[in-house]
Amino acid sequence: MDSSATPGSQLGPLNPGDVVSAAIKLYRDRFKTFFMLALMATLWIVGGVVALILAIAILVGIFGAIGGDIMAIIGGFIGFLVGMAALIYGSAKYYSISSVIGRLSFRDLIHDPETSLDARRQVAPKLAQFLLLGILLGFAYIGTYIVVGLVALIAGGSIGFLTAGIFSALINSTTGNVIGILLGSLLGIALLVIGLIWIFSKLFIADVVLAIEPNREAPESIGRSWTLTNSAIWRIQIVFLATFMIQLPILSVTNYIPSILIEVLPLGTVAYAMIYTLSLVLSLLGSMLVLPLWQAVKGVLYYDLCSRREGLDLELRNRPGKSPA
Amino acid sequence: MALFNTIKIRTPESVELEFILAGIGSRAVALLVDYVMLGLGLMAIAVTYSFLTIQLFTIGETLPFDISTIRLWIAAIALVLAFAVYIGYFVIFETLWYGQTPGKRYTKIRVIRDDGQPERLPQATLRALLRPVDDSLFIGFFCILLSKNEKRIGDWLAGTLVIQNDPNVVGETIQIPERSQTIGRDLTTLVDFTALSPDDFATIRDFLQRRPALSPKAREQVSNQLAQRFRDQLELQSLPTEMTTLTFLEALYWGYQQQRDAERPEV
Repeated sequence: MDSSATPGSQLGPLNPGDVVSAAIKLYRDRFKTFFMLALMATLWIVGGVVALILAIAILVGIFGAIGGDIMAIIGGFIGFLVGMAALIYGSAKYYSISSVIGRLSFRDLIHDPETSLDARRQVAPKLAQFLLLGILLGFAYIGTYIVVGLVALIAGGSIGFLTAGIFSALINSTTGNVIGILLGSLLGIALLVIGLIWIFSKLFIADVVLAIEPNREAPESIGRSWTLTNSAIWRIQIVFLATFMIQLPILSVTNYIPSILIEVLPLGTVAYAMIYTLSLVLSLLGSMLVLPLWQAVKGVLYYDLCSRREGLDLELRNRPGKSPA
Repeated sequence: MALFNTIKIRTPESVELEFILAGIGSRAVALLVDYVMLGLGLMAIAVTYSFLTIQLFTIGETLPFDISTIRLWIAAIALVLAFAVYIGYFVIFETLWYGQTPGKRYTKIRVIRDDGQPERLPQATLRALLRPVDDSLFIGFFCILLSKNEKRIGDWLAGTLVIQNDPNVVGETIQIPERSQTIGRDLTTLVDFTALSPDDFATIRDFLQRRPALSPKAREQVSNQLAQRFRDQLELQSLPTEMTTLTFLEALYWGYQQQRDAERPEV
């Protein structure tokens, strides 16, 4: 009994579990590259936050020294603006660098691998588009949150009232109210969660589309993500759930256990401060470890959807001279 | 680059079989589906249990004897039932369905023994009994992720493997229209199909099979591309009649299939 590798061939569409398995395999094979990219991306965000704090502190200090409290407030405001600019720049960098991981995964799948440096060079000129994409996606999520939240409130409220009324009549008003509130809030929460997950899946691969496809701009990338995910929403949910389950072991070590410790320890002690700092570092590490997994999943999912809807794999099999080894 | 681990098994009859291992993703999905179904079953028990307890409370006063014994009995039966459902779900399904549960059937994976034989009751029981161990602290997850043969502790002790279910099963047959069949017949006399490799044939088959899922634009683009390539490969200067690239591919598929079937010796 021995294990060996399958001879490589152009993969067709994958089932959801295999999307995740493939992503993990790609991540493991290029762990160092992917993790370094995740580290770089995270450092940009951390740098942005640090810059924001420093800008406010320094400018408050300087303006305060010049002209008292009012000037200090003005200084704080200017510092906030300057710092926000840095933070926004850092976020765009984070976004573009992390999408490089998705691009690399995709290129591996089509047997046309790239080095991290090459991929970064290709993606770097699109920084402004990544910023725009981030803003657009932010608006999309907030908009969905508001709309679905309202729907959930109305639906949950009315169902809650109805069941409360029915069960009050059938049993008694206390039981009726409890059941009504329970059912209503469950329904409301379920609706809200489903709505948010739905929009999130529709727009899930927008950033890798922007990173992979040449001459794409942010709005088009969102459009591509939207059409590619048509009739794949259910499959994407399963991919999400599987990825979520697989990241749990990592996050439970880096994020969940330290946060439980923080809850247990008394406030203001040295141990508390130490654990707090440690947990901050650990949770950053956890998100750095998990980021490549999600990005690789995006890259594989993009490949899968392109194969399914556009016959990408069939075209690749057809490519002269680039036939898979 | 191999994305999925495979395993070669030599059966006692010295036949070598190769399987593709299930992969952590499919196993996670299967587990999720099974736990959702199990959760529903356990919820049904919990609801029945609470219903019975409440009923017992309301009629308890009118009964001539002490109800605390009955309550204990109901609790005990509920607990035993819950345990039986948790273990039994996996044991019964994996035994009856030869290594599959509803979740595994959905993800098209299957449990087999290390020697390639189907999984039976002893293996299924061991796997089910060790499931809580594997589930706690994600032990099973790390074992599957880090071991070469993707085995969790239950798999080690039961001597089982989880594999993908026959990845080479050909999907539903492709309907070829009458006209394409006629052209295909003409093609068999015109061209030498040996210029097409089995891989080429598989590409045409995949395209025809997956055509409905493709977007209209991609459908046209891919069929043009494939038709162009195979026409060059077969050195066809001119086509017997005017036809679309899709008809050409269908005719090729049909003709190739006819010729292959004709060459296959009768058993």
